[in-house]
Amino acid sequence: MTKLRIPASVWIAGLLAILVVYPFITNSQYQQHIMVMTLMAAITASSWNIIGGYTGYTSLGHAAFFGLGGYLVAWTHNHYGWHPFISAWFLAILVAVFACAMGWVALRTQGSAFVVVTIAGVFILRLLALNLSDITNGARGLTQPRPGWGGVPWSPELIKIPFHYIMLVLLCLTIFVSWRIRQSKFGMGLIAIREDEGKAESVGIDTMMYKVLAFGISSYFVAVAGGIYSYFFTFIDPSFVFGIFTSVTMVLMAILGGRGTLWGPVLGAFIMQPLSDWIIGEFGGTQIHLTVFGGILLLVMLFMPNGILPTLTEFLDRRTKARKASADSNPA
Amino acid sequence: MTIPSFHLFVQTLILGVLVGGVYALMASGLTLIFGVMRVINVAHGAFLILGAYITYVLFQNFQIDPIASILITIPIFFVIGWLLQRYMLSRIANPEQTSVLVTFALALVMEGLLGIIFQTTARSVTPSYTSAALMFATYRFPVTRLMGFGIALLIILLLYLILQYTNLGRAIRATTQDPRAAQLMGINTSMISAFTFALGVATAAAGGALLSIIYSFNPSSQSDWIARTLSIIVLGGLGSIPGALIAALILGVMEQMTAIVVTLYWSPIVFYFFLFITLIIRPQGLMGEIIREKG
Amino acid sequence: MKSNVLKLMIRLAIVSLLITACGGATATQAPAATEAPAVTEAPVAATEAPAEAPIRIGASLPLTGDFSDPGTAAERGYQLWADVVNQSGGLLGRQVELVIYDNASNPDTAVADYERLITQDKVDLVVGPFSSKLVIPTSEVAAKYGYAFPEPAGGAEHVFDRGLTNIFFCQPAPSSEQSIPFAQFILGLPEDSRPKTFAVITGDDPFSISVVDSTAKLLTDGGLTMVLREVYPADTKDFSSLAAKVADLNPDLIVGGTQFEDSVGQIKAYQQAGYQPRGAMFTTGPSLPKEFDEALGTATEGVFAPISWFEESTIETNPEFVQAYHAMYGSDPIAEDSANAFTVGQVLQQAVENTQSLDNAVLIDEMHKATFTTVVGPLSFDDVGRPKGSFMVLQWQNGKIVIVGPDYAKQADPIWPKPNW
Repeated sequence: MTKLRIPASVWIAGLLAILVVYPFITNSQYQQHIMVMTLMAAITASSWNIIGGYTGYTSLGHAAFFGLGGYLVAWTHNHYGWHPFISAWFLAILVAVFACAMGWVALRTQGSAFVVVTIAGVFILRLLALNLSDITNGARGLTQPRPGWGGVPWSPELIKIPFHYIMLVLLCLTIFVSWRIRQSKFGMGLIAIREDEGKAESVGIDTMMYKVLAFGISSYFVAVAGGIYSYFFTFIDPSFVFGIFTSVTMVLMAILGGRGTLWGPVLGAFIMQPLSDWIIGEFGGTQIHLTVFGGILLLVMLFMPNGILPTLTEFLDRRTKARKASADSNPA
Repeated sequence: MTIPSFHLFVQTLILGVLVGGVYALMASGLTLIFGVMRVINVAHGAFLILGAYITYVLFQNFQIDPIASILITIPIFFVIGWLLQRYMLSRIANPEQTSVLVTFALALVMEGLLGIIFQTTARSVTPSYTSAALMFATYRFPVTRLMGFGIALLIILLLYLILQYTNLGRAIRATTQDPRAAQLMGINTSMISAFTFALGVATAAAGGALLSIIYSFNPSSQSDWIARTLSIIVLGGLGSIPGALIAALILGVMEQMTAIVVTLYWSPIVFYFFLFITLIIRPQGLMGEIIREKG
Repeated sequence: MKSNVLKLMIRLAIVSLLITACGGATATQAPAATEAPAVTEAPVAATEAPAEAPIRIGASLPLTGDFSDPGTAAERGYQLWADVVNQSGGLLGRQVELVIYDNASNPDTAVADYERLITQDKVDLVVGPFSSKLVIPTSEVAAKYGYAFPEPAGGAEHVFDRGLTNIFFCQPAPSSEQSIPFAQFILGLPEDSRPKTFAVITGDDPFSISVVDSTAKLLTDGGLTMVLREVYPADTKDFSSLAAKVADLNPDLIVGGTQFEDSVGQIKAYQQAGYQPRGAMFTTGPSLPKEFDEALGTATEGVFAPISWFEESTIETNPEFVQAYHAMYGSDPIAEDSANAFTVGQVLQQAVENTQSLDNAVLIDEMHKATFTTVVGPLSFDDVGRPKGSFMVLQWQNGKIVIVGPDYAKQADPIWPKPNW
């Protein structure tokens, strides 16, 4: 039987088209705000996926890069007047270099120990941000001038729109890089490391360099997102950006959607971020939020550790096979 | 930087040792669990806080002394730990990889639930002896910390005796050293795992009770405590209780010293610093064995 | 390929859901912001049901978390004000409706709350949260959308030095001037009983730091020596090492920059460390009449704090406020923060009534120009929103708060030195 086969590329194009015109479809500022946050979530989750999904090293420390990006952008904006939409891309490179250095040290450990090291990393950065208050303004955080261009602030009605587009561009870039990595020898190497690091090493892969590179790349997009975020909110302080919860959110989204897949993290973000905003809206302070996130992570890890996409795919494949098998055994 | 006077130095040393004992109790359960199950129970901090809250409830509503309430909370936590291991943790396909995330998720759920029930206002348990201190040679020994130290050592000693001199303890140690060999010897390792996890969580009941009289706490404190206890067990050597004791004393003293010499703000860094350094330079810590490679 | 198709179908479904959600949401939102105020109508009598939509005023308060005690006190103040206004006919003939969110003392949540209040809930007006820490970032949000931002508790310098003109700090004096009466008392003591040394121990909070640093300056200018200045993380719970350090130096006077929890924490730690200063002042904490007493019992005796308001004051509108408060909330003593929140309401109300307008730009202008009659006295603001007035100092005596200075507000003489806690 023939099924209507719409190539994936058409679907992607369709989705992209919707996202491109999204700010004009919705007339609610708040919905625009949520979409910007959702795109950002998708970026960070997909970026994390490079080290956490492809390479199999669960980092709970990516909030560090998010925060670093945010602080660098805020600081240079306040001191040199660099506009975040431009500076973020470059400052994130600095963060990636830092990540490589940190990775070179941290990636010597494995499994649970690695997770613990990354947690410690975030805590240390938070402590530094709080204490070096001459630079970071400590607990008070850094504020930035109102978003605008050339000294002219954008009007309140239109203010979300530039952020929407820059996040969309960043997301496309992140997915593109993630896709290319997956197709490449580098990506195969990462997956080999994930499956059996010892064997990968013995086959001649320089596992340390691969891991460090993956760690650095995975930090870049997160850092850009962090920089744009600090501008979006015109405010950044240590407790949110250098918080474990921020890290966990990225990880949860990637895992929920399907860690190690290309689109899984994006799916996870599109589910979790609107849900998260809805919870905060309905229930205010953070407690129910924590319970729900923790609960979802728990359920996913226990019952669907591969995430939605792989599980769904497997389910459908099995059904097709079953149907095919029964079709074969029952000639028409 | 302040150079402390001799008196202040010794006083700080005393405070550090006393608090180190309590830290050791808190860390002992965590290291025990890792030793047998190779699982880092990131929810341990949340269990400590849960213990603190239950102690608080018993004290506020029934006027039960926090130290006495340990007798009530230990069995309860033992059962909770047992159930958790048997019916949740044992289902995890790949424990060494995924247990951190699972227990982390558990910690979040607990923190959230505690926040919903108790709100985020800081609490502490204040029995009549809260502000009292014993004087000895011009040095002050706060009663709450003294009692905490005493109880902590007692429980750690008890734990140690169980591990060294009972059949159960021997079985636990055998499983720690080599699970496969232990199984071949006829030890029911899944039962041992459940028991050990339950034991580890039960120590959190005691640790939490002591926490509640020495510090104030709210649901989000759990992340401070897990950071501290993780650093302690890593420095001490994963799986080693004596190691945890030594590490706890060292870190307790260093934490207090940093608070005095530098400033309170920098004192948490002592824990993270040692955690990082130990994992990088000497992953087996002071007294542990080499961590097995990722499977 | 099939799995790809599936993936994208799911994502498309989600995006469509988002779109329909937003379409539905915008359809149900009441267009409150665009209503013209009823300028020419006479105020509706209390017994008639008002025909117009209510005026919605939004706020995000720390109802849980580190600032929960003063935060809930502020909420009571706002609610009381709204009630009082509604019972006397409303504002411009319309009922007032408060939309309050809990930010759990978290600045990021507070920022998100005000974004939501202004862009999603489309409230007509907003009032500020408790504490400089929350006021600083949230005032930026209000400024972005041109909203006036009268607030009950953000008086640190950094609130005012960012070039914003929409903020109005509704207490009698900014943080840097709040401890002047206290410093004057200390410096006015006779030579032989005056303290020589003091220590500043403060949480890392812009408000506390502002108050204690300005106190320190006044005291050192007056000849005292500061032997220690320490800043601790705002959520510190364990003060034992800090107390040991202070006890070792044994300053005559302790100046603490605190919220409520840490003021209690510090005092308990000092008790344990055996440190008995001749005098003690804390910035918040002692100003909470019920909670401070419950937490410390007799240890409160002799503790000072700067205060903007007191219950027995006979300033115009205050007796009515006190009476209304007790009618609504019972006989517990009133916290200063409730009075500050009520003051915000008064300022907002008078600005609206003076101009007969809900236009934020008009209100901002009026708030800069006028003098307002409030429970903390006549209040007026400079061009960045600093109030022009002066504070008072309280002391705990016999388990109660009494005002001990300046002379014009004095209820009793101050006790010196402080009895052992």
